[in-house]
Formats: sequence, structure tokens, C-alpha cells
Amino acid sequence: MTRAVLAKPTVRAPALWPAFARSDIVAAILLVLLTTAPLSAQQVPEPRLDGAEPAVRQRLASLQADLRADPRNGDAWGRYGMALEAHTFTDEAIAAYRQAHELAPTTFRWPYLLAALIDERSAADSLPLYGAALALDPDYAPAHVRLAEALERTGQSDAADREYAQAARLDPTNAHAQAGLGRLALAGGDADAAVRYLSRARELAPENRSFAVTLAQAYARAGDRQRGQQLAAAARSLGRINYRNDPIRSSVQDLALDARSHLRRANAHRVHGELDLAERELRAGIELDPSRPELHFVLAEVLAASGDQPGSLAAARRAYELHPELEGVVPFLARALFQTGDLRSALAMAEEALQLNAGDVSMMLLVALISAERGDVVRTVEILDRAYQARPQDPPTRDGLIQLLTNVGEAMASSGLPDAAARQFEKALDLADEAGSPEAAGLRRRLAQVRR
Amino acid sequence: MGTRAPRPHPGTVAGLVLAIAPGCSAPPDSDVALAETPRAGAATVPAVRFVDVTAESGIDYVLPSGTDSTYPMPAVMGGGLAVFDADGDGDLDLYVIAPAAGGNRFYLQHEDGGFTDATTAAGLEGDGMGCAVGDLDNDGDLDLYLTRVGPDRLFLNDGKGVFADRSAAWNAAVPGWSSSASLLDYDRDGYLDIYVARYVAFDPARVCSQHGGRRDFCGPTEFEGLSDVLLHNLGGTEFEDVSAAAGINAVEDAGLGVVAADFDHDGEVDIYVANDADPNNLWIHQGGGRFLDDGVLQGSAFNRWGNSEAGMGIAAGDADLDLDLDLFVTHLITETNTYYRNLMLPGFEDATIDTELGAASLDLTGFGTAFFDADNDGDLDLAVANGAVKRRPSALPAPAGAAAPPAFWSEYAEPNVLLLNHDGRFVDASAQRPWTELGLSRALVPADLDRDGDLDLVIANLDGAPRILRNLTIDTGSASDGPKAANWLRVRAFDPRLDREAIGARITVRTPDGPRLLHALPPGSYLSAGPATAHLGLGAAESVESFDVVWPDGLVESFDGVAANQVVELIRGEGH
Repeated sequence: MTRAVLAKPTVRAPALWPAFARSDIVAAILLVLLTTAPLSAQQVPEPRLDGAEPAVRQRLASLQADLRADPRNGDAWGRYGMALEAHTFTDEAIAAYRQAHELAPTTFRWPYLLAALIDERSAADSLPLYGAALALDPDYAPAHVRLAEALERTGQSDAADREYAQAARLDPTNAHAQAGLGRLALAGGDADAAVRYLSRARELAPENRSFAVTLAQAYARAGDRQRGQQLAAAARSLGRINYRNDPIRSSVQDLALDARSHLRRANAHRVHGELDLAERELRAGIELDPSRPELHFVLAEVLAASGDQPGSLAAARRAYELHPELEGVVPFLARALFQTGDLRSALAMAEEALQLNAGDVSMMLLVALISAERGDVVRTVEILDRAYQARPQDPPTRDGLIQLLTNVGEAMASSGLPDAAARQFEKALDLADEAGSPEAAGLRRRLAQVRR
Repeated sequence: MGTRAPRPHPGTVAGLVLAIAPGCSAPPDSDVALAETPRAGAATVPAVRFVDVTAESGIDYVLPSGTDSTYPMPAVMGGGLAVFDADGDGDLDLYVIAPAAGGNRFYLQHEDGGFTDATTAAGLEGDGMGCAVGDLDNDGDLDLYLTRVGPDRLFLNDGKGVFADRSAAWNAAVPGWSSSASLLDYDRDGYLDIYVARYVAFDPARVCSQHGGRRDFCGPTEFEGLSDVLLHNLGGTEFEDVSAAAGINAVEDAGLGVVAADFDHDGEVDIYVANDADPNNLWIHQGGGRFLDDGVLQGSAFNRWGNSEAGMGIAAGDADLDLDLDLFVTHLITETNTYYRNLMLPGFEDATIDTELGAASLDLTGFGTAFFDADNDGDLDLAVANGAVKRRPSALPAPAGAAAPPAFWSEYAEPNVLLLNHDGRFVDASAQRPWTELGLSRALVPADLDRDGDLDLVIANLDGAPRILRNLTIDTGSASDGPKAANWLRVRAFDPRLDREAIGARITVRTPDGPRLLHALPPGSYLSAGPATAHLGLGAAESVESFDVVWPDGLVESFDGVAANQVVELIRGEGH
């Protein structure tokens, strides 16, 4: 009998340092200590804080006080380093992490966080630090991924491949490990393998734009250009920030106390469906800086997803007051107002959205819907024709347009206007045919009936 | 044979040349002091030597950024430059473009190599971001399109270096924040059209901060991106905005750099746009004036990691000598600059790692850049102008004896970089002055200012003087591959029907070391305009065997070879 074995493997050192013995671990740590000269315990790095937010100054001052009280406490140095890094005081954070690593040499997170920061400046210099960290905890898959990425950046493709594979073994749900394997396959000219790995990465993290666009490229290299184009177009709607499941690194970002960091964390929570946590972050951010329209707008989206429509509408209105041209806020408000039944305001907002973006077919449909509701047949037909001319490609919008054209056609037919009805059915049929929609057959029959 | 001698150069280049006599080693008060400690990461290689001759040039103007305590974003993004022969006297003049009101300056070069301010006489006052230079009305002189934060401006040249603002009459006042612009004749009607990259809908009321709340310049993600604009030249009389018909207004990205060239060799000119934090666009001309952004599938929109980077400047050139155009895009600190190798699949691959171009850029924010043969050894090297847009993690120390950067910019200032091509891998050759000096550099243009056969560099600096770096390769025989192995050719593709250079012409030169690809293109770089005449380093070769030219209208001609070390003009219709 065979069975899939996904159990935790025997603890072993990363492939970069094969067959590590305990003496090797000690040697690795020594190497790190030798290459990263520590500060004296009393020398607390102090960043320039003029202009910093009071909460940040207070937090850093408190951590500095802890350090002065107990300068041999490695974890206190590490916590200080995390707070510094969270507020982009990178040089000072590196110094603090070095000290933490020296004073608490068996703690995994200090060489790991140090490695990740050093990696931003020199992948080559980060390699021994990742090695030292993984010698302390060989089972932390995100560290294998980061080590693999550093190896890839330094041109060591084979070693990178081994580390990605190790990360994938440790955590088969690690999307970045799959993506790394796919990226290396693509660079090596194996487009089919690249498609396989990157498809898996995309399944695991469908919100990740980097995976989507690399997969699109792999499709094109593999000869499936049409699929690549579809994916590339879809990727445009994905956010530019890609989140990764790395609890230790994320815990650093959780410490940031400025409004933008709250927004970043809220977006990360939202991606993972943690709407209550997202809301908490957004409200904290708004308390710090109520003038940022995007905080209010994201809050509106989060509250809408949570079912709090009045709260959502209020937040969207505030975002609109602060920045009427903020991307997406006007269409959002139009839809939200429509849902509350305030058709007049919804129509005004949808028309404004069309002024900002004349090609927004979803807003054309909303205008058509409201105009039909209000009995404005001329405007309904006119805006539906405009939507038809725009020939929307995304399925929900196209299907919505087909449905609306059909409904209007039926209304006209029942009002004794067969010619006008036929024109609506013709457009609906044209779109359905183009999309290969199963609705096409029914529409064709209905059109024939109306013409008769 | 269809080639002709270039126009005579009026006089020699005494002023700049005399600063360093040929064959001399470092002068007493040297800017090329060789004993200086190399910068970390810069390898010890036989360096090409540049000397800063700004002080001798007569240019002492400090380009005003217009920055203040409100940290206005245009102040950190500006600093444009044009290097062109404005008055038709055979030497190159300078136009320095400042984001601050009234900050632009125009300098005419004299026979002795010195420059004098002729801004008012030339009618080129004002402010701006960048520019494009070319003969827009086919009257034999170079006109100037000025991009700005606000309506752009068009200046037509009277042939003597006096310009008239014809923005309104030509419908050239493109609104919004325009950055770089590129000339192309996409419809092959003989008149140069303009692609204008536009940046973001900047809102001065937006306050941005970092480092726990310290106020700083905003980044592009704080604002909506703007769609770019394609201006169709209607017979040299006015422009028509054809952005919608061309399909290029379909995306609203934060455009900063642009290069127009036939990247896939299908005979149609394409357009590559570097976007700041947005995916780069590769507008492939479908024919009939329609463009399709194929950057994602062709591997030039995102880097190897699938990330969009902070695209600033672009260098285009055949860096791997396989007869197609590769691309190099400069980026923000913590991102590498990215080298996109053209695979002609069609498509590109991110070959930054293979070419070893990553490490030299990770700690710097790159803007202007150019592929150019710094040492005339036959392959393309790179220069990058740097300077942060937000405070660096830590300020860099100014090298001993060098002037400190302006106080406001002390936490932003960075050194520029020279990277020499060694068999397809690039080696940092910036260990010595002037490369170690700190500043806020933006536009960068390679051009043979002193007409001695090697390419000098002009670099615009915010709140600093534009720096003229004179290349000493010819004077000292200091080509990195050996003494005196520094022969050269300058190739001008000229279309007599249009009375102007054939911008976009593709020239394959058969040399003893193999074929070399040249393009008659102004440098892309960043906010920059420069000569469209192509420069070819020949190393030890003393002649070339032939030229094969694909003219912009599709005509293919061959021309006989010539001896090295001259300017050669290939005239359309006179080949075989």
C-alpha cells in the first residue's frame, strides 16, 4: 500500500548546508557573529525622531528604557529592533537585531529578521544569516522560501530549487514555494513545468498578482497565448501588494503605529477574510489620521462585506467628501445608494461615475436599471445601447447587460412594440453569441417569435 | 558610395580638452584622483576615466528644485536635460530643465568648448520636467517639446537657435503632469509624432510621511495614474491627440520613461514605457495606428518576480550583441534596476541576475540611464544617475575633499554609477571620483560634447549644477581592453527627402569583430533628449566592412564600409 506522506520530516538542516551536525550549527552561529560585529550593550541606537508621530516616539522611548534597564536582555534588543523596523528605521533595526542575536543566540527569530533586512541590501550577505536561523529551526518553511529567493537572486538556481522544494515539502500550501519552483522552471525554459507550479501557486493565493502575471507569461511561452491574455487582463484588477504567510515577519509589521500601516494590515486581513480584524485596523488608522480618504473607503468596503450597509454608506460618503475622485468611490456610492432605495441619489452618483470614467459599463447598467425603474424609457434605451457598443468582456457585466437588454425587450414586446423589442433581443443575442452563452438559443427563439 | 563627410566642425574643443592634456596622468588638483578608497561593492577594474569639467565649462547655474517644507513631489522628480545642436553650428548646446518656476536655462556652446547662458535670447524661459528634441516641421533644424506639470509647451526653432512658443497653434499643450517624451513616426508619413508619458494626478494637499511620521515626499501610489498621450503630427503644422484611437489611453499608469523603437523587427515602431510602481507598458504597434500593450506576455511589464517596480528611466541598446534591442530600467532603492534581455520570441526575459546588474543598484534610486560604449571597445556599458526620492535609511557620507550635497538633500543624496560591460556581465567601475560624489541626479545624456570620439556625459542635478563629465578614453588611450584600442565611428542616418535625421533607422554595421546593431534614436533615459546620431566603439578595428540600413519607411539599403574615427553620414536613397 502506498500513501501520500505529508508528515513533518525528520529535523534536518537546510539543503544549503547538507548533513549539518551540531558542531556545524555552532560554526554557523560563530560565522554570523564574526561577520556581524555587535554593538556594546550600552549603545542603544536612537533614530532621528523629529516629526515622528507621538505614539511612535513613546513606543520607542519605552523600549529604549527597557534596554537601559536590562542591557544584556537579547529579547529586549530584538523587540526594539522589531519596533524600529516597523517604522522603517532600517539601519537602527539591523544594529538592534545583531545585538539580539549575540545576546540570545538560540532564538530563531533574531537571525531570521536580521537576514531578511540584510537581504534587502545584499542577498549574498544574507545567506549565512538565513543559514544560522535555519540551523536553529529547520522547519520554518517561510525561511526556506526567503533563503531560496536570496539564492535565486545570487544566481544559485540549483540551490534555490532545492530550498523551494524543501519549503514545499514542509508546507505544501506555501504558495511562494510553488511560485519559486515555477519561476525557476520558466527561467530554465521549461514552460510546461512553469505552468504546473504557477497554477498551483495561483490556486493557493488567487489574490497574488505576481503569481498571476508570471503564470500568464508561462502560458504564452507554452504556446497558449489566449489563456495568457485572459489571465493578464484579469491580473490588472489584483492589488499590487502581495501578502505572504510568514507569521514572524508579519509580527514586525503588526507593530507599526502609523495610519498607513493600519491600512496595509487591514488590507492583509481583508484578503484573508478577517473582516473584524480589518475593521479594527481601519478604525485605529482613522483615529490617527482622519484625513486619509482611502482608510474610509476601505472601511466602507469592509463594512459592506460584513453586512453593515448604513455604516458602509457613511464611510463611503466620508471618503467621497475627502477625495471625490478617489478611484472606485463614486461607483461604490452609486451601488450603495441604489441598495438603500435612494434611486435619485444613486442615479446622480452613477452619472457622475460615468463622467469620471465614460467606459464604465457597470455604471451604464446601473443608470439603465434606475431609468427603467423610473419609467424613463428613452434614457434606458440610450444608455443600454451605449453599454452594448462598449462590448464588455468580463462575464458578470456582459451577462448583466444581456439580462437587461432581454428584460427591456420583453417590456417593449408586452407594450406592443415588436420592432423596438426585436432590436433589444438582437443586441442581447449578439453578445450571447459572442460569449458562447447558453442563453443564445433561447434568445434566438424569442427573437423569431417577436419578429413573427 | 552614399556616405559623405560630416559638416565641418568649427574649431577645436580647446576649453574642455585643455582641462586635461592628452596623455597626461591625473592633474594636480585632480578630479580623477586615483588613490581614493573605492566605494563598497565597486570592483577594481581598469576604469574608464571621466573628469568633471563643469567648472571649466562656464556653467555655474544651480538648477532649482523648488522644494520646501511642504515636500512638493515635482521638486524631487524633476531635473530634465536636452543636449542638441540648437543653432546648427555643429556643436552641442544644453537646455537644463527645472521644476521650479522660471528655472530653465539654455546654454550655447562656443568654438572653444565653453558655454554661455542664452536663455532669454533663445526664448526658452520657463519651467518643466523633461523634453523631446527633433525636427517636427521638417525644416532642417531641431525643435523642442517641453513636458511640464501643467500644459506642455512646443518651441519651434528658426534655425539659428531662437525658439517660438507654438503650443497653442500646434495643439501641443497636453494637460496634467507629463514626464518623458519620445519621437516616432508611427504612421510613416515622414513627420515626427510624439509619445508623451504622463505621471500622476498630483494633489499638493496630500501630506505624506515615513520613519514613524516624519514628513517626506509622496510616492506615486498616493495618487491616480494618468493615461499617456500620443500626438499625431499633421504634416508639420499641428498635432492631433490620437491617444484614444491608438488605444493607449486604456491604462492610467504613472509613466516616467519612454523609448520608441521597433522591438520585434516587424517594421512597425513600438513603444516601451517605464511606469512608477505600475507595470511597464510595451505598446506593440498592430498597424494602422493601433497599439496593444503586450508587456505582460512579452515579459517586460514585471520583473522576474512578477513585481511591478518603480520604473524611472530607460536605456535601450543591444547590450548582448545579438542584434536586437535590450532594455534596462532604473528603479527605487531596495529594488534592483532591471535588465530585460530581448529574446525575439517575441519577448523579453529579466536577465538582471545573469548580467550581475542587481547588486550595484539595490541601495540606490536610479533615474537617468544610458547604454553607451564608454571605452570604445565595441560593447555597450551603462551609466546611471541616482538620488533618493525619500530619506534613505541612512545618509551616505560625502567622499573626502568633495563638496557636501545641499543640506536639504543630505539624507537623499547618492552617487552615480558607471558599469562596464565585460563579456555580457557588468562590472561596477565607479570607485573613483567623479562617480563617488553625492547629489540628486536625474536626467543623463551621453554625447560627444568635445567631438574627440568618445562619449561624454551630461547629468542634471537637483539644487546643483548640471555636471559635465568628460570622457578621457581617447586622450589617454585608456580603453579597458588595452591601450589605444579605442577606435570609433559616429553614424548619422539622414533622409534628404525630409531634410532631417531618420529617427528610428536600424543600422547593422559589419565590423571585423562581428555585426553590431545601431539605432538612430535619441537616448530614452529620464526626462532627457539627446543626439540621434549613433556612436559605435570599434576597439582595435580600423575600419568597418559595410552598413545595412532599414529605414523607418521600410526601405532596406546597404552602404560600403569606411575607415574608423570619423563621422559618417548614410544618406537614404544613395545606398545599394
